[in-house]
Amino acid sequence: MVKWVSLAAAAALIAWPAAFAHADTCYETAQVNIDCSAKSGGGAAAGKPAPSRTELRELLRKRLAEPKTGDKPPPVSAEALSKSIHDAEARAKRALAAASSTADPARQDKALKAYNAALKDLDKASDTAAEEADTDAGHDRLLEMKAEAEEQLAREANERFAAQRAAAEAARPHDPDNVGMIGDKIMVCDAPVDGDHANCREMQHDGNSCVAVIAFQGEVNWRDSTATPCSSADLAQRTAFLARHADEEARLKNRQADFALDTTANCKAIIADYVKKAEAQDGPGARADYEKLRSFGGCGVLEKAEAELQAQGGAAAGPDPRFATRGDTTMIDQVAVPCDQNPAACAQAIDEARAGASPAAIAAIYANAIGIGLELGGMMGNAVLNAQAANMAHAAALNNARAARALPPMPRAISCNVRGCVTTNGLGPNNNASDITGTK
Amino acid sequence: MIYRMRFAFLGLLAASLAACAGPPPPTYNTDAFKGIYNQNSAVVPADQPVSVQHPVGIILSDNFEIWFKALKEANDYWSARIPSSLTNTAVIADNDPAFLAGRVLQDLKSHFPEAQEIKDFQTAVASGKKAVVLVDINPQIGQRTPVTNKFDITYYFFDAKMNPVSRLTGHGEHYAPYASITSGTQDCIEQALAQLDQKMKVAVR
Repeated sequence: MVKWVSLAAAAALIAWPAAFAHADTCYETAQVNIDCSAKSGGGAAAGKPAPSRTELRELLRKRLAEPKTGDKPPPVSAEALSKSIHDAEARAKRALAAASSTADPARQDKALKAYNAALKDLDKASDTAAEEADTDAGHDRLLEMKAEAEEQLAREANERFAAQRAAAEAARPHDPDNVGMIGDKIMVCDAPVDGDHANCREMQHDGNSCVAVIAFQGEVNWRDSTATPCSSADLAQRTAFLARHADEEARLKNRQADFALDTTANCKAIIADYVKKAEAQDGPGARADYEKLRSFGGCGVLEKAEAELQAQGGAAAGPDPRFATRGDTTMIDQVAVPCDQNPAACAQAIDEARAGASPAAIAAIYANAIGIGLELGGMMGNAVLNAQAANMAHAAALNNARAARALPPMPRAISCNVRGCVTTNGLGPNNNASDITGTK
Repeated sequence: MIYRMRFAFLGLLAASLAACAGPPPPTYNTDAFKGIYNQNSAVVPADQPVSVQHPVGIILSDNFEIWFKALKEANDYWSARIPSSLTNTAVIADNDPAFLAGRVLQDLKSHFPEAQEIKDFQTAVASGKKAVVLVDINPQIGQRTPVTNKFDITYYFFDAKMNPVSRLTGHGEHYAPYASITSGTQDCIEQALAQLDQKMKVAVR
């Protein structure tokens, strides 16, 4: 629409006051049914300043009817020129819409051909219009507008096809992100392969064995030393991955061969260097090569050498630098070793420990404490009562004085316990209420 | 240490004796491999799947030695000061070294029936062990109640080349309220072992 307005303005510039009519014919592009009337640039000249459409058309006819210098063929009508530009542009747009709205390659190809043809027509019509311009300024402006139209169409094409690609990408079923290639091996992980700390199984090239690894952002930073048979679930995920990625399968096969060659070459180099360093008594160097050799799976020789060494009692190897000399373990020897050697006795000891800390054992401790507390109370009560008994001598003297005065005698304590004393008058302690003082 | 609890329980005696300083609490090694394996145990990846070959050797870390010694010293210390009739036998049983050692060995042998307790890695290699489980503990048993006591047990798995490949940790907690008579150590140990069992089911093949 903007283009249409621009063209109208340009036509006005070159004294072709073309008020473009509605496109009443329509080009079939890409065999797509298109409602031309809805898409044509009807009313494009709306808002344009005077003169009116009729006046401008009349003015253009007059200008074209005037004889021109030179041998140019008679000019075509301004209306026809503007219409051809408009039509070409409209066809280009429809073709573009058709091309970008289908995923069918054949239809898309046809629509793109129609689009390119429309662009050529637009180019030609614009050039013709420019040729017909009666001023240089009008000519230049028309060419400028042609460039703008083409640029806008190109931009629109880019946007539409980018949107189409994005929609196709969104609609495409995505691969599970927990399966992928790291290096030349397929990883099946419990989390996204490129996550921060993914536990994965590295599928070995034999297609059956797996090695547990930890991947950090797509890089293996820890690898178990032992391969185990892959689970059926992991193998199924591997198969599905390769089915979706035929290129990766091919790459895997190729790299497998490369890897084997590299490994062989590396193994030879490491073994040679290892032997050389070992002969030179280079401990750190030998150790480094040993680790390298291990990282290559032992290259088929390490395990044999270790077994041989072990068979020889390991004397030649000397102490393993990783192993510290253990200090005193007296307590472990006293506690754990018998337990290890005699599981039945150990189980009994465990049961006894459980019983010793059981609620029943705790209740027994409480009962014992209560008993001790009572005993303590009894001891304190006796002490008080003994003191009480000691005072009885003084009471006896008082009794004698009372007897002299014909007063009843004060009973004397004969024996005492925590509850009180048995007295000379035959009374005993009160058993219904007591406290540790024995005064009740 | 743990015997403070008996004082809280015993009222007047506790008041008179709580001021007594018992043996200092032990200091545990932060590196479980200390004195056993020349590498820091912290770099061993946690909860990694591991394939254990047989036969298996079991090494108890120096923290076991420290814990057992601390228990013995505490027993010796308090038995010299407390009459036997007042001894809190429940807390002694709760912290019985045989319980910890026995339960750990029981647990590991339930997974690796032929496993043997061994002193060190030299012994493991010499006796043809194809894997080693180094067991470490981290007891955090409080001195006063109320307290939440904690006990961690960690299994470090070594492969046939005697390289550490994975570690699994079990954790146990027990809240001992004020004047509690036991520390709940057995409870903590059982919880930690139960956790370890679950992890081993997933990670150990």
